[in-house]
Amino acid sequence: MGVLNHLIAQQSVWQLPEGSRVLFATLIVLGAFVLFLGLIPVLQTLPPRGRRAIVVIITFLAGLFFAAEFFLPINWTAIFPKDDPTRNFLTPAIQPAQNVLQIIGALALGLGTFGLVRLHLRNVVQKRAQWGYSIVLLVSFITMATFSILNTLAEKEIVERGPVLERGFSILFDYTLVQLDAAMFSLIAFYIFSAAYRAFRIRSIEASILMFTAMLVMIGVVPLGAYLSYTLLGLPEGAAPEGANFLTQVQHNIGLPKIANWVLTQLNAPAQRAIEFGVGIGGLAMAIRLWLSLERGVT
Amino acid sequence: MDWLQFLPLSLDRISVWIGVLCTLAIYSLLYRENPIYRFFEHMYIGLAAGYSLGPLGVDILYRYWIEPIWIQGYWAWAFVVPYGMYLYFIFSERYGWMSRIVIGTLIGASAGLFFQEFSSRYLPQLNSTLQKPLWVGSANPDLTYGMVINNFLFVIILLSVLTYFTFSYEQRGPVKRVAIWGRWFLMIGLGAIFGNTVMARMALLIGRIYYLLNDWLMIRVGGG
Repeated sequence: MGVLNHLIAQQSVWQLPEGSRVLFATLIVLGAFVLFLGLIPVLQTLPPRGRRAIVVIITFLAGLFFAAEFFLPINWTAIFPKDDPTRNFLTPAIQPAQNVLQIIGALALGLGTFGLVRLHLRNVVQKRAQWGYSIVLLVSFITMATFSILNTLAEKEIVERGPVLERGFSILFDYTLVQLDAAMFSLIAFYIFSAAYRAFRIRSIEASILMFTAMLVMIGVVPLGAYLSYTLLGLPEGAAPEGANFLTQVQHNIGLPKIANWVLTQLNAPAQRAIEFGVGIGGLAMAIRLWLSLERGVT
Repeated sequence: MDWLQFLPLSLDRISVWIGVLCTLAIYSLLYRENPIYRFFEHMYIGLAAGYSLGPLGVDILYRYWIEPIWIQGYWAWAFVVPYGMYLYFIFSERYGWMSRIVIGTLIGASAGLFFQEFSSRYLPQLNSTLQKPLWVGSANPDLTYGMVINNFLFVIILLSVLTYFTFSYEQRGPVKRVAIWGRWFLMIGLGAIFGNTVMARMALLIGRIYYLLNDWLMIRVGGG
């Protein structure tokens, strides 16, 4: 542990000298690719049990690292008197480990994109049904990917942000993607009403409670609720004055916006919390099963 | 209406017309499934997938891999991408199992991180629930009877919904009755979520209508 801390603290061990950094870095990256390519035939010689064992061990170690960092006490000064009392020996490695996960996540995104492009390229090449739409998808994908990558590089000042890039990205992102996104999600507004109608047709206590609460919340959070309560019915707005009698207090608290807020904060919140507790305990059980490779089909 | 300003005769107006075309094409689904909708639906998927490569792919790889190696000179990062590239074996029947090594890393790390999430997200909620005062006393001088009723309601609803979600044994007698009440309280929660979702979608729809009226047809609506 002391060695690990010592290594992390020694910048010179981990950092290439400034003079020929680019050359050395390129050589090391190439070497890493060659190493991992060379590992492929070695790994391939393993029997099925050995392959599974490797996956299980790596899954366990990856989980163990984050679990141990969290569970180990932060104050190690009793064992390592010179260490920082606000951390344990694994804490300095947490940020790099999370960066590794980010990189693998970015590669996984590429994997998904590759799968999508491969599927639609196959549609076009084999002229499957409605392959024309696949061309639309591929053309829009390539165009947007080019502009998006160039825009990202321009933000880092690696490429110049010319007027074509600026206007092109704006048209593709602000005037096409954002508009399509908003239109697609607002479309649900129409279908949600038909869903509500179907829910209403099921005449049960549960459906009635659900729809009544939904109506109350919907009317209560928009100006209509305030209009009905304070203008039409003439209920007093705001909090009741101090020392007011019971009837006045009730009058101040039965406006639709007040009731909707009460439903959201006092009735909805505990129900949500109970759901969250269930999700949390379920998630914890699943995390342990995955960590120990007890879940079938993963490893 | 000033037709010269309305028609797509400038770059700005062309951009607005493109936005309108996209909106109306998506809304054409309300009539029925049609080729125009399918065209724009595929365009949407292509654009969304293409856009993600910039901020979620190149940006992350540059910030966490290229910059640390080539600019800051931390050579150990060189091994991360070749290791991550094993993911791409998923498409190979022969070498497919190697992708599970990387997937295992992600799964194991997510499992390990969940312990942290459980402690930072759920335990404070449990703590705040258990700390709710249920009677007025000298320890809570600012507490009103209204707050006490609300706290009682909070605990009763929480426990009854949790009872409803307990499937470890058959619910009979008073437990079943509590579970039924739990289901009703759950419906109140789901109703509130449903109401909020409807309002959020309506806000998006109003935004679209505002765009069509204000930006495209240049009919000034609303205040300001």
